[in-house]
Amino acid sequence: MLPRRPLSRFAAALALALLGPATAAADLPDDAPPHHYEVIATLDPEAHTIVGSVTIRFTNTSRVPLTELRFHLYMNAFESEETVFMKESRSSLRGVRARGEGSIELETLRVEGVDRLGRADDELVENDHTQLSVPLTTAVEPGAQIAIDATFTTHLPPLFARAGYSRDFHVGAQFFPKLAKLEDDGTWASFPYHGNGEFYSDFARYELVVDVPEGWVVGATGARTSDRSEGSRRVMRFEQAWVHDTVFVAAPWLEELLGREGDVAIRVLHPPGYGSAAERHLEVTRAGLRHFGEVLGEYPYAQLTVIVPPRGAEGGAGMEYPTLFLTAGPWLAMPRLPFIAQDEVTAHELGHQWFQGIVATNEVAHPMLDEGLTEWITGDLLHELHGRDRSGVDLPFLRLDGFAIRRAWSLGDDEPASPPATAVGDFRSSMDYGRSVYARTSTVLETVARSWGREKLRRTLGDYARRHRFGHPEPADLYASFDRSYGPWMSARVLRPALEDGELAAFRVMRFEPGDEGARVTVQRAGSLPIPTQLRVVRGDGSVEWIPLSGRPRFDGTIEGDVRSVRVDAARNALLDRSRLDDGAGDRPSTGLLARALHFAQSLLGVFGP
Amino acid sequence: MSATDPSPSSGTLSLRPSFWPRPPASDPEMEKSYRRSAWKDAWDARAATFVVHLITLALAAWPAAVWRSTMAAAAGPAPLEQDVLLDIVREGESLGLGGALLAFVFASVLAMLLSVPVQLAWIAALAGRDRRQCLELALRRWPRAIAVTLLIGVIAALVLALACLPAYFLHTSYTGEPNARTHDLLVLAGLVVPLLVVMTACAWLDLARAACIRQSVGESLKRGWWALKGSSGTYTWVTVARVGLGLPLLMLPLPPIALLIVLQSSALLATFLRSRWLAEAWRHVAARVSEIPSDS
Repeated sequence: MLPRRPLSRFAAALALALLGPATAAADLPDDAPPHHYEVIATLDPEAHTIVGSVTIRFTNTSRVPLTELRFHLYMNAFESEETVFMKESRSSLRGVRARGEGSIELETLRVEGVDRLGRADDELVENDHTQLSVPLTTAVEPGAQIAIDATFTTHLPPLFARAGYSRDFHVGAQFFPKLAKLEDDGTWASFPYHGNGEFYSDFARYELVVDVPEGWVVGATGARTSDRSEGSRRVMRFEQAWVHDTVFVAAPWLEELLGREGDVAIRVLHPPGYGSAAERHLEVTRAGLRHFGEVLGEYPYAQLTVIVPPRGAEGGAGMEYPTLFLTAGPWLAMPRLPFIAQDEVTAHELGHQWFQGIVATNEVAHPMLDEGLTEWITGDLLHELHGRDRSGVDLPFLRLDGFAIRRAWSLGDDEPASPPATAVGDFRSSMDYGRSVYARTSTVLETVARSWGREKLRRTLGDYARRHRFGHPEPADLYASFDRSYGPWMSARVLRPALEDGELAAFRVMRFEPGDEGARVTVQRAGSLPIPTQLRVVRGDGSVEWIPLSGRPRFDGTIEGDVRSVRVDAARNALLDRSRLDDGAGDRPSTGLLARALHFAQSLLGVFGP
Repeated sequence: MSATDPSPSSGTLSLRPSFWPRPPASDPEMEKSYRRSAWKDAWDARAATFVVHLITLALAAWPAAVWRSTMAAAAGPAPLEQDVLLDIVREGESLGLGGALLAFVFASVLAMLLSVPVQLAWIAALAGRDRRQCLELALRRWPRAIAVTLLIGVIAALVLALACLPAYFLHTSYTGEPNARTHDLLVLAGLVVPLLVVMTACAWLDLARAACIRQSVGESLKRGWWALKGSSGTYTWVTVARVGLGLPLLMLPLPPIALLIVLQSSALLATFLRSRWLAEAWRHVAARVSEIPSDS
């Protein structure tokens, strides 16, 4: 281990030189972003603290004079059991429980050189100190710029919700005082750190200086522009324009795998022993950059860092930040299990580079616009990589469609999930949030893709993503893109009912009575969504007929001939049907169920038997 | 053949306690002959083996039929197809799949209760006894075989607990190690010993049950243990072959009739392989007590 570190350092420097000037942006706006952050962070890995400072050049981009600044101090979400985050999440996120506290102490806060900390209010919600309101004595006029500087000490919590530490693996995210998003009308989109929701910010230029012990490896937002030793410390500077956050990940044992896709330099940092998994993450990342770039517009930054967290750091896994994401998965590459091994998480977090990274929607007010859209493009990428019927599981004896898994997830048990177009705070639980925002949104979109064409949906989302690149769109903007592409009926009759009201498109074969004169068949449609589908009719001579059921609420009639079976939506295009068990009737070719069941029971009984 | 005499093991380190009787010396040539004869014994007792297969089949048919009818009622004869498989899993409880599980639990309990007398009768058949003697032996030696089973179960559980300790210590020692591969491979390596313990216990159980047809409980345990030395190789390959003929074949993509033929053939072959092992087990323990049937 020890000799590896200088070599790794050398390799990193060599890579920096070979991969070209990392600050070269592929497709960023020509003008500078309106805000500028310089964050200096010194990590104490023994105490798990970050001592730092932040300097902000803030521009009032709204139409009105500002008399207040609003900051987020999100590390305070972990300071007690009484915060909004801890109460909403019940001290647990994605199966990982809170195991300690975290907080941020703001030591100084000055606006234009004048101390404002004394007049600030950090309890806008009772028992929650994740927001800070700073009144200004002099209003900031529209277009005017002010300088803000602050010093702070952040105590990282044990890693259970995105930021924190797991032994010597540190994720520094939301660790500094950061301005809330300023809306055009002069209001601050400020909210406490919620149990489910994530972040929402203005685009800015971020410079991050990370000071860690010598020999440590760091991955961070943006391009590394300097790397020097200062005694027993290693100090690195990372810079990136047109991003809305900056983070870093640090550990002494991280290993590096480098790759490139077009103009983008990819750096995969992984624990020792994870080499084959890292190769797989890199492969999926490269495929994703190609696919998403083609569909949603080119990835605009010159570099991308993929962090593979170690076991024990699951609380930080599967999380996206600008130009950097933490993926998840085992140490062994498992490309045949796309939904549950490396592929899905990497594809999903990469997809977030577009939906929320580049198209920076409000994740608290409209979570479906980032998690929902990202979940669909994740499935779309896995569909491209593995094929539709293998995009969930691709084992020799079991193949599953990834969207069929998402559909089952979205339907869950008996209780319907909340509609996806729900604000984060209004979901009943994190399970409800996941079923609705991730699974339901993606199955609605996949139903659109399978019913009206995949390429058309890709073009539609591409139109939306390109129009709002480096913008902050709302659901109406998404609906507008769909209406431009499909016609004004799409949002009114499909998207809004499905996403805002939880409307379904279910089918049921109510009657199937074969006879000499033909078969009497009744098919009932439930739900108002006009999803086109077909009735597959199989006759005794093996011939197959497809009868369109476009928008008809009920099909009731006699089908001529020796009809053996009927089935609605045999192609599995409509994923919004609560149960597919009532979609067909009549003979179907046996899959040898009895033979398999018998053998299964015989094999198991062999363990107990004579 | 005559009973083998204990032979001194001078000059070798032994962990055998002084009170434990010295095992008789084994004869490699004789062990080879047991293996050869076991094929013949198994073939000669094929009728008994087929009966055992039918008993297992009958026990398996119950939960299988419940499961099949429940799933077929819910989703037609092709519930394993992609379009309905996940709905069956999702709606399993409301579809009544719990009934199938309950039937399987009852069938397992019944299999466990029947396994001892059936195995005793089977071993007797493999040893060349006629049908009446087989049934008589099975009924007479049932309590003794149960005692042997319980004793081996207790000993195996204690040894297994000890054998799991290295894996447990490896797990706790390497939990914080960032290289999860190291942790997993070490723990996996640590689990080899418990696996060997389980396999040894299972082989010992078969050998001791074979011995208990004519021997007391204590003597059966002892003779079975001694016989492990020459027979564990056979037990291993038979077990591996039976596992290969079991669940891995379950998802073969064949038409229903062909599937039924292939799966039942594989189940029958697995039962025959077990009979081959039990025949050899019988010869090993019988050799130690001079009880090879007179016609062999």
